[in-house]
Amino acid sequence: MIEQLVLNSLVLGAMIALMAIGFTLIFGILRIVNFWHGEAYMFGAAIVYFLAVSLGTHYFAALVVAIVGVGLMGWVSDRLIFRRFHGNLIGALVVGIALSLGFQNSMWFALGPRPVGISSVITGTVTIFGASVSAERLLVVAVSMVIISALAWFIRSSKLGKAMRAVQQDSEAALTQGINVKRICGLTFGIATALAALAGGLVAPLFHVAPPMGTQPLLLTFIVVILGGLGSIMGALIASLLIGFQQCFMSAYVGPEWALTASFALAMLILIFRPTGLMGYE
Amino acid sequence: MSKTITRGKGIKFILPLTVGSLFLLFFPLFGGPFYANVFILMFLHVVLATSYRLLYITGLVSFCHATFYAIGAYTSAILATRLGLPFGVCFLAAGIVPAVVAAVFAWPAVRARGAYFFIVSFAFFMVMFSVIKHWPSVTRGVEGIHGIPPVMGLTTVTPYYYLALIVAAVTIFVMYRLDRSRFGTELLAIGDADDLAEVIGINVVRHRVTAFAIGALFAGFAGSIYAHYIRFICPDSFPLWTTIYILIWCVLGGARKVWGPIVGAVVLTLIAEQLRLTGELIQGLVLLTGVLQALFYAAVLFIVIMTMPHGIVGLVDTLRTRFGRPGYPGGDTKPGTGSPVPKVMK
Repeated sequence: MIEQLVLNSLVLGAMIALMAIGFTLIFGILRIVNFWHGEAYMFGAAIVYFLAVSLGTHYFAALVVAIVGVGLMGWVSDRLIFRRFHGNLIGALVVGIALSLGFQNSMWFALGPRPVGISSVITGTVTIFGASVSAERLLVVAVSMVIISALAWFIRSSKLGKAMRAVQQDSEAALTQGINVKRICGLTFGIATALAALAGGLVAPLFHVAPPMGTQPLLLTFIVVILGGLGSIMGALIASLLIGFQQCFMSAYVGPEWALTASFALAMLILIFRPTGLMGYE
Repeated sequence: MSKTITRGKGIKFILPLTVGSLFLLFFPLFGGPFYANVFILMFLHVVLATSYRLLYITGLVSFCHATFYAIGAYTSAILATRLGLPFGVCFLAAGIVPAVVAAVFAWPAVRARGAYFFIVSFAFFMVMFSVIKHWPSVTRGVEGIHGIPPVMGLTTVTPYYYLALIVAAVTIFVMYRLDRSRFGTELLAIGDADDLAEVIGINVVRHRVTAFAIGALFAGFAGSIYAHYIRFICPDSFPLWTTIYILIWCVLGGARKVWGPIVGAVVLTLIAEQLRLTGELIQGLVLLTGVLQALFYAAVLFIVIMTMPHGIVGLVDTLRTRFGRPGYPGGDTKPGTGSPVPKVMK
C-alpha cells in the first residue's frame, strides 16, 4: 500500500513538474501567465490517443509526434497571438482563457462525450527494495527526470539557454547584447507547451483522456509555482514533488475532496504572508 | 469638471435614457414571463459586472467575484430558512457579510500583485467553493438549500423583475457617483500606474481593499435576490463559469467607463439566453448547448481582446476622436489613450 502511494506521488509529482517548469519558464521570460497550459497537456494525451489507437502507431512514436506538434502550436500561438501581450498580464490572461475555452470545448467534437483510454504498452511489475511496483509508472518518473535534467543542462550550459536566462533577467539589456528576444520568447513558449504535451502523453495510459483533463493539472501548477516561486525551475521541481506527495497521501488518508482544497488554502496563506511566493521574485 | 459639460452631456442623453427607462418600466406588461426571467438575470449580471469593475480598474484581476455572489446568496438563504428573518434583514446581511469577508481577505491579499493576486484570488475561490460544498451542517453541502421563502410571499415573476430593476438602477447610480468622485478618479490613477499613484499620496492598499469590499457588497445584494427568486441554491449555482462570465462582460464592454461592463453584461446575457432557447428548441442540440455556448464565449473574448483591447468603450472613444468631436467630454483622460490594461508588469 505505502509503496504504491509513494510511486503514485512520484508520478503525480513528475507530471506536475513537467507542467510547472514550462509554466514558470513562460512567466519568467515572457512575463505572462499561459492559461492554455492545461490544454497543451490535454492535446499531448489526445494526439497520442489518436495516433496510437486510431492509426495504430507505436506509442513512443505517437508521443514524439505529440511533443513536436504541441511545441509547434505553442510557438505559433506566441508568434500570432501572445507576442503583442508580452508583459501585459491582463491581456494575456484574457486571451489565454479564450484559447483554453475554445480548445477544450472544440475537443468534445473530436473525442466524443465519453472519456477514452489508451492501453498500456509496458505491463508487468518491477521489484525494488522488496516492493513490486508497476513498470509503467516507474517509466513515467524516469522519463520525466531525464527530460528535466536535460532541460536544466540546456538552460544552464547551452548558448540558447544562456540567452533565455539573459532575457529572464533583463530583456532590454539582452536586446542590446544582440539577443533576438522575440525568437527566444517563441522558443520558450514552444519548449513549455512541448513539456506539457509530454506530461499529458506520458500519463495518457494511466488516466482517461477527455477534454477537461487539463484543468486539474493546471490548478496544481498554480499551487506549485506559488510554492516554488514564479520563474524558478529548481523551486518548481521541489514544490511539484511536495505537492505530489501531499495530494496522494491526503487523498488516501483524509479524503480526495480535501486534498485540492488544502493545497489551495496553503497557496493562499503563503501568498497572503509572502506576496511574491516562497522563493519568488517580483 | 465644468458645469456646462455636465449639463450638455445630460441633455444629450436625456431622450435615450427616458425611452430606455420607460421600456424597462413597462416591459413586464408586454414582454411575457420568459423574457421577464431573462431580464431579471440580466439585471443581476449588470450588478455583478459593474461591481467587479471597481477593482478591475485598479489593475488587479480577481477571480473570485462569484464567491461573493455565492456568499450573499447563502447568507440570505440561511438567515431566511433557519431563523425566518424577513427579506429586508436577509438582503442587508447578504450585502454586509460578503463585504466584510472581502475586506478581511483583501487586506493582506492585495499586497500580492499581478499574476500573484490573480492566483491568490483564484485559490480563495477554490477554497470557498469547497467549504460551501463540504460543510453540510451550515450550507447543506451538495444538496443545496431548498424552499427559500419568496419575498413577502410573492411567487410571480413581475415583482422580482421590479426588485431586480431597482437594485440594478441603484447600483448603476452608486457606481456613477463613485466614478465621478475623487475616489473613482484615484482608482483609475492606481490602474494607470500604481507606484506613481502611491508617490502622490494615494493609499493604494486601502483604496484597493475598499474597492474590493464595495464590489463584494453589491455582488452580495445580487446573490440575495437570486436566492429568493430562484428559491433554491447549491454550490453549482455559482461555478467558476460565473467568474469567467463576469470577466468577459468587463472585457467586452471595456472597463474604462461605467457603461462598458453594463453593455457587456446586457449584450452577452441576451445573446447567451437566446442561444440557450434556440438550442433547446432544436432536438439533438440539447447536449451540445453548453459546449456551443462556451465556444461562442471563447470566440467573442478572443476577437474582442485581439481587435479592441479596451472593449466597446475603447472603440467608441477611438471613433469619436477619429470623426472629430472637439471637446469630447471624456473626463480627465484623453480619449482612446486611457488604458484599463497596465502596460508595465515587472
